[in-house]
Amino acid sequence: MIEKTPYLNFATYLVLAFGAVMVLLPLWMVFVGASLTVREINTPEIHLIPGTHFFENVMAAWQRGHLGGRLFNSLVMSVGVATGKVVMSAITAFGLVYFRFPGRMLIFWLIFITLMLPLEVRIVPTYAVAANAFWPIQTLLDVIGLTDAVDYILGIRIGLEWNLLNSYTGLILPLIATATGTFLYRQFFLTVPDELLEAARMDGAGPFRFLAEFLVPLSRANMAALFTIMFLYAWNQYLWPLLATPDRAHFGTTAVVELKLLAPTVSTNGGGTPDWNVAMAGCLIVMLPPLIVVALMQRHFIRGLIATEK
Amino acid sequence: MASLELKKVEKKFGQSHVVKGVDLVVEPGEFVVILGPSGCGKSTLLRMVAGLEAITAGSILINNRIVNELEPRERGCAMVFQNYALYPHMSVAENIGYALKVAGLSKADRDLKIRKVAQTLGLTEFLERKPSQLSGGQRQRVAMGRAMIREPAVFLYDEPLSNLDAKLRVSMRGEIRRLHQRLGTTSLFVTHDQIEAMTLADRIVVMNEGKIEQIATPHEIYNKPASLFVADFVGSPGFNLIEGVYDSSQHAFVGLGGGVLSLDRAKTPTTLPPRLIIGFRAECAVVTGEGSDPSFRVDYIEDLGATKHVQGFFDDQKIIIAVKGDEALPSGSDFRLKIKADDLHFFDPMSGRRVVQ
Ligand SMILES: Nc1ncnc2c1ncn2[C@@H]1O[C@H](COP(=O)(O)OP(=O)(O)OP(=O)(O)O)[C@@H](O)[C@H]1O
Ligand SMILES: [Mg+2]
Repeated sequence: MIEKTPYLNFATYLVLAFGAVMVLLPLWMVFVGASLTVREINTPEIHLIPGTHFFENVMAAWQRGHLGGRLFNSLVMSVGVATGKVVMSAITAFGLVYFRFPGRMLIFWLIFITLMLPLEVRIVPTYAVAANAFWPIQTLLDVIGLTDAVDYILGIRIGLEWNLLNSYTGLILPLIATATGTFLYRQFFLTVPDELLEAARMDGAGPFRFLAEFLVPLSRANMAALFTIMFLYAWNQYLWPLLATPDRAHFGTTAVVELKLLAPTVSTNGGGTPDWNVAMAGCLIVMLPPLIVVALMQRHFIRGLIATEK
Repeated sequence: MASLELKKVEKKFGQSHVVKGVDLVVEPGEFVVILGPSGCGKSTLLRMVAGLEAITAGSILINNRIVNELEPRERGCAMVFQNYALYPHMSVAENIGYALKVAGLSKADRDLKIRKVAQTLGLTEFLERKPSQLSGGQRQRVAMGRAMIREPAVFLYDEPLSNLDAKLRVSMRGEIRRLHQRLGTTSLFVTHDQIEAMTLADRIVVMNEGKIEQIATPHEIYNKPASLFVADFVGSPGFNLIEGVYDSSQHAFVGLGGGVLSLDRAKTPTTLPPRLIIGFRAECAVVTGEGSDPSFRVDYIEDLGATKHVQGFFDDQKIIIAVKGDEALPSGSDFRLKIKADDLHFFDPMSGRRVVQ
């Protein structure tokens, strides 16, 4: 029910304004903090008026945090995770919905179970696998005794090793292996009318043509949504990049992990005055790419919605 | 032009037996309509011909070649779906030309054909639109265009007109008929609308519960129904069917209520079963004031303008008589019914089949 009375309007705006302030105030304070000098930010009063040292601090954060390289790492990782996720979800859901094969339900439930195993729960085995992607195979060989047998007969010790730490592959793969996207796509494919598939079959389209020329264009809005969510998810990852990139000197790490290192502590700061202004400037920089992605993708959700509207 | 033949075609979905041994031969260039009530298996039959549904038993031949195991695209059929199933993300031109694109035709060749088909169907000005920007009738035409452009061996239609309003349905019906006269493509058309069936078909196949009741021309279906089901299903109002017994000594039909209808020896089958159902069309009975014919009591009258449908009782069994619009028949009054011997049909209540001469 929508009533239009001046009082109600006023109250509505009041609530909206309050909400907006609650959300924007911390951001504003980050921005203000990023524009002050070290001395100003370490005074006890709360600053609400920006200072004049914004660009200085941004430059300092950029240099100190090696943000150029870190942002690049983050970008590769996030785009990799988001793209990989979209592609893999679409293909697995396509297989599950449109093909009848033995063990289909078993595979469905196996994928379903992974919903209950987020990265944080399986972090130790995931780390072990990332440290040596052949570890599961090696373990299998060890357990069935093949390693010993080959050693005994040929005198060669089988030692399979493929280290994924400090690599984009290692950063990306473990984050792709989740079921949420598959479910999103499965739900979408189930809403596509059967007649569409049948008409396409009558016109001679095979399964892959149907995927490429029907399902993909029809799921554009879904794809944009999933891409955005996964991009943000990957961008904001902290625990996994922290573990997967021990080689800070050469490979570096992601921007979000670096942000933690920018925050002044006794060990990083050598006991001097904590320069929160630089940390705040770093925050603003790291926040920017996800903001751009959301802004760009938002247009696609809406266009996608209009295109499929009947 | 292709021939189409169905031999003992069966379909089971798990336990339910949906199509029970259908035999049908469609001559090249013929327009055959499958008519039957909802759920009788018409769509299932059509989808088996199209290749969208596997065949449980029997075989389907197109141009004398068994197509049971062929993919839809290899059978040379094109289908028009009930809800059109247009591709929502493609323009009208892309919808119509999609089959050619899959077949690997060049863009220029495609455009030429698309333009030709669009012209035939009056779609030229809509080619760039999306299906969602079209009216129901226009969508219907796009669906037809999509089927036409492939120049298929067989056209399959699954109730293509049932989503249109009454007026549009009549005009689209005419267009389909005209199109068929021009292209001469062998066509199989499924509907539960008997007017559609009567107006479109060269021959009608009446189906009931997965079996064929009768295959004949519209004229024959209407005037010589092969079974009680066909008699009742086709025509509006349907047949008047009256149950009774055959009295061989008087050569007369005696209704369950005792009313007697003497039969013309020359124009009735020589052997009639003891239990009998006679049938006649509403417009074939003449109401008169006197005589010894069976009595008819008027119940109420439905005035349709040109004709009146007189609801009443013959021998306690409900029947309908159609009379000219200006005849006055007060309700409650008794009259006599006169039915020409040629218009009387005899059915065996046990088998439900027509008793043949
Ligand atoms: N995929 C299926 N699985 C199980 N039963 C089915 C399936 N498709 C159809 N049926 C059943 O088969 C019967 C015939 O269906 P069909 O769609 O051929 O009917 P129809 O004659 O086309 O009816 P309508 O005029 O309502 O379209 C129905 O009882 C239906 O429930
Ligand atoms: Mg149907």
